[in-house]
Amino acid sequence: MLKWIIAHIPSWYLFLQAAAVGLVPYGVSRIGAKLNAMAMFSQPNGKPRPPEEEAGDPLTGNFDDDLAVFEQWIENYADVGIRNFELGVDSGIKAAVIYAEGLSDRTVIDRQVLQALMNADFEASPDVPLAERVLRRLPVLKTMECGNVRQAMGQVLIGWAALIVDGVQGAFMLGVFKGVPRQMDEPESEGLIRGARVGFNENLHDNTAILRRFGENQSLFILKMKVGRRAKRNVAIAYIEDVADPAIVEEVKKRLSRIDLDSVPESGYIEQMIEDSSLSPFPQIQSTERPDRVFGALMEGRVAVLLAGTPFALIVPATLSMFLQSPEDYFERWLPGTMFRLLRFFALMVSLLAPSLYISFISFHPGLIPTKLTMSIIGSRVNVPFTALVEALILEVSIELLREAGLRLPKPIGPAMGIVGGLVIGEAAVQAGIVSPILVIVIAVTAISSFAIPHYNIGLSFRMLRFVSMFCAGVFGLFGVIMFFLALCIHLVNLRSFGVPYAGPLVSYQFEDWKDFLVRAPLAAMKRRPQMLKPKQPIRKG
Amino acid sequence: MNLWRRVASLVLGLTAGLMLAGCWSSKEIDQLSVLIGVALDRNESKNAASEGRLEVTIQTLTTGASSLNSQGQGQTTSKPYINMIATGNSVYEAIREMSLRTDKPPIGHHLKAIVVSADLAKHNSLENLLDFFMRDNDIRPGSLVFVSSGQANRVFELKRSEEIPSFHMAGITENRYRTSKILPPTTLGKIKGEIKGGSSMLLPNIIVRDGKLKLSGAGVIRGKTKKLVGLLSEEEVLGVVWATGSGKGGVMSAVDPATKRPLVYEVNSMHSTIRSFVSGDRVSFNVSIRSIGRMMENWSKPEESSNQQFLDDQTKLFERKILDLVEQTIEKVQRQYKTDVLGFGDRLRIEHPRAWERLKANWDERFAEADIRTDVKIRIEDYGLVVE
Repeated sequence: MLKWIIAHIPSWYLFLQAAAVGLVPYGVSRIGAKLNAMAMFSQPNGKPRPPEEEAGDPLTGNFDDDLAVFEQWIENYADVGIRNFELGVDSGIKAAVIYAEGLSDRTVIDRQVLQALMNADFEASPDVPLAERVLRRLPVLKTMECGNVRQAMGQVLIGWAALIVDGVQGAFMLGVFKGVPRQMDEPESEGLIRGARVGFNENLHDNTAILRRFGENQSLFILKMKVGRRAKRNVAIAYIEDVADPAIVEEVKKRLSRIDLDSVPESGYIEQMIEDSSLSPFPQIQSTERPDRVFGALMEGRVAVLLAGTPFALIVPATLSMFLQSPEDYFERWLPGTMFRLLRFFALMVSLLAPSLYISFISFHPGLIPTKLTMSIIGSRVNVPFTALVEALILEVSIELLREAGLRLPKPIGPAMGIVGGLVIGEAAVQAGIVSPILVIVIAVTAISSFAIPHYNIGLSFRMLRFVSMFCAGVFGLFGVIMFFLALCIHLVNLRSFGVPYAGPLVSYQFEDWKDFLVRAPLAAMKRRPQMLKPKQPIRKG
Repeated sequence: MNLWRRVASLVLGLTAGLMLAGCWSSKEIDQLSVLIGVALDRNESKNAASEGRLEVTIQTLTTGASSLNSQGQGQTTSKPYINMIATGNSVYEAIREMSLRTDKPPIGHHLKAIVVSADLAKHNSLENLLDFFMRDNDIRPGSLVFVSSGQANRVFELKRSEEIPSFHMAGITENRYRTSKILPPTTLGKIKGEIKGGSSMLLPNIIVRDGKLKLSGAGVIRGKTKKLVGLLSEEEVLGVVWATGSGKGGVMSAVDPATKRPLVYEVNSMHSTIRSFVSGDRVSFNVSIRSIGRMMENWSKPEESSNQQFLDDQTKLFERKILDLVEQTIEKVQRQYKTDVLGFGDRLRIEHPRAWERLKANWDERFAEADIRTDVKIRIEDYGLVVE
């Protein structure tokens, strides 16, 4: 019996293999966790930034002193001006307006400030304090009072005008900003056939206003915060109060308050500072220029973050399937909506896997190609000196170059460049025997598929991953592609965006949510909001 | 940073390891030759250079096969395939022998046809001849197996050079809905089962006539010896197809005894049920054949095409014709070849398992003595478009 057992004990290398099978993934996951911890230095573990102490020269109320302080301050601000005048007609009360050229609206200062104050009668009710009298005579909507020069100058430099009056402590800050109006054109990167021709612009108030215009709704809350240490900017958090999960709203506030950057030039900075995993190749926050997309997301119970100075709004939490949806899916009837949505999922797979499948079929698994196709592939590859991987890399890299170059080119040259690059070089490369015509077809189909993905940044992720999968295919063939795909799936199901699984309703398996996942169910059937977002108010309709 | 350095060196090591390993089993498709057909013959040449009992002919696609060459011009080479012959005592040995002559190793994934010459199959067990093809994991179980009554590698040379014989052979077997003289496809996978199970079978016989391929009859393989015992003619294959009801279409013609002119019946469906009966050691079978079809040609009495009486008479005529055909065929395999290729044994095994256990040891002899009755019923449900 013992002999029989001993005879069946496998040899030592089998044990070694078994150990490797266990230890390698463990090691890889440990390394991943460490790298992640390093990349996330400022994030979840970071402490909220302490409030900055606002110290500075207090405004005393003595006009000459205060003016001197201001003059000293503006020595280094060539774009700030001071206008001295007297209140009323011959009242002898000295005053001055400090304003920034270009940021403050000159006509407003002329008419609503200078003209109003110069023509007003300040003798009328002497028992009312002067500050009160000045305010009463100022036909300006936004006013505020400010006690020290440092703070006042900060406001002046973003477009407020400061008014100092002899004998009044502090300064009046007047909201006389000059807007830089831009048309709210339809965004170029997210065009639709059917849908409102409106996009966000660079003005935060315009952007929040568009959201308001979607309909009267008292529960659309818009909160304001400031981000940036040296260059502060307004950021707005928008959500529907009785729909959005309060935990998500709190999380957004918390993460925004932790941002500790010098400046925030674009919402991409915010995106990168508040996302869950910096190492993931996938965008975990959706950015969009389309108000209808933002409003749709709000209605599902998501939260939007809008930054002043950029037309790109952020939507959290994001799921992978969101990036493959287009507002048109809902605007058109449900059958075409469903069809095109399925088509996009297909396009995603093609853009990720087509070149790597080509490589693995050509260099590892000739048996998987239909016999007739084998004949033509062999015929077309006779003169190609490279292996399939090198061949595919040559063409794929040149396509990516073309795309990148096309972005930089002035608009009139763009199409010409496409023709020269795509047609001429492609044709010539085939003629010269550098690549095979079949590969040209594969790469072209890949490129077209990646254009079918409605979101630019998810397209970028898959363009990157395509190269990884091509290398896997070049080294291990189909086995490598499958391993790559499995690794990708493992990563995807592991990823979360603000507490919501990134792989959408697929992985936490809320079958209820599938009606708006691969297919787009008729509107009549979509009675509930997505359950994965844990909305406060799950019923949408009926 | 210490941790950074450690992690970096680990990642570097892993990637270097991957890169060093390279592309293990990578072999570009244009560096391979695609094997599409194999013919097995007896080696009859007496010179010393070609030793061995077998003469193996392999057919591979040539690289110039496609009109889609890199120049984009449609210059087609004269032949899209090449045949190579090697000899050896075993199939694999002979195929590996080819490596001395070509820079591109053949791959078996696309093998379409295996042709065994009747001469070879008479003296060698199919189990041995096809062993390599059944074991090799590249070769698909969908490859078709044929016998050839002539020399097997002659079917790989056709008059029209742009036609690829192996594809052609595979294509002919797909015409079963046009004629009933074709047996159900004998794929490697199916044959494997029959060989291992020891049952007899029929393999289609492919020959060359006037430089063209023709599927003509079938070879009878006895299950016990796995050797060829003889050939069936085209008419007899037709009988087999009717007896087993395995046809998908085809025609049956008969001559009207009154006018001595032909009539043609087109098969829409055919069906056959074999029942077995056992009494002691005597076994008997009942074959009942049912078919529905239409009258497609009437040379005899065109004016009566839609006359029910006439059609009923013709039905009898066709039934008689089919009955004769089937009985002749059964007679031949029973008396001459003593080989059960029609699946009677299978029915017995299913219906009378105990009797089968008793009889299976020398089933071929029992089968030869079995009493087989046949009845045929057809229905002409349609006579096409006729003008009265």
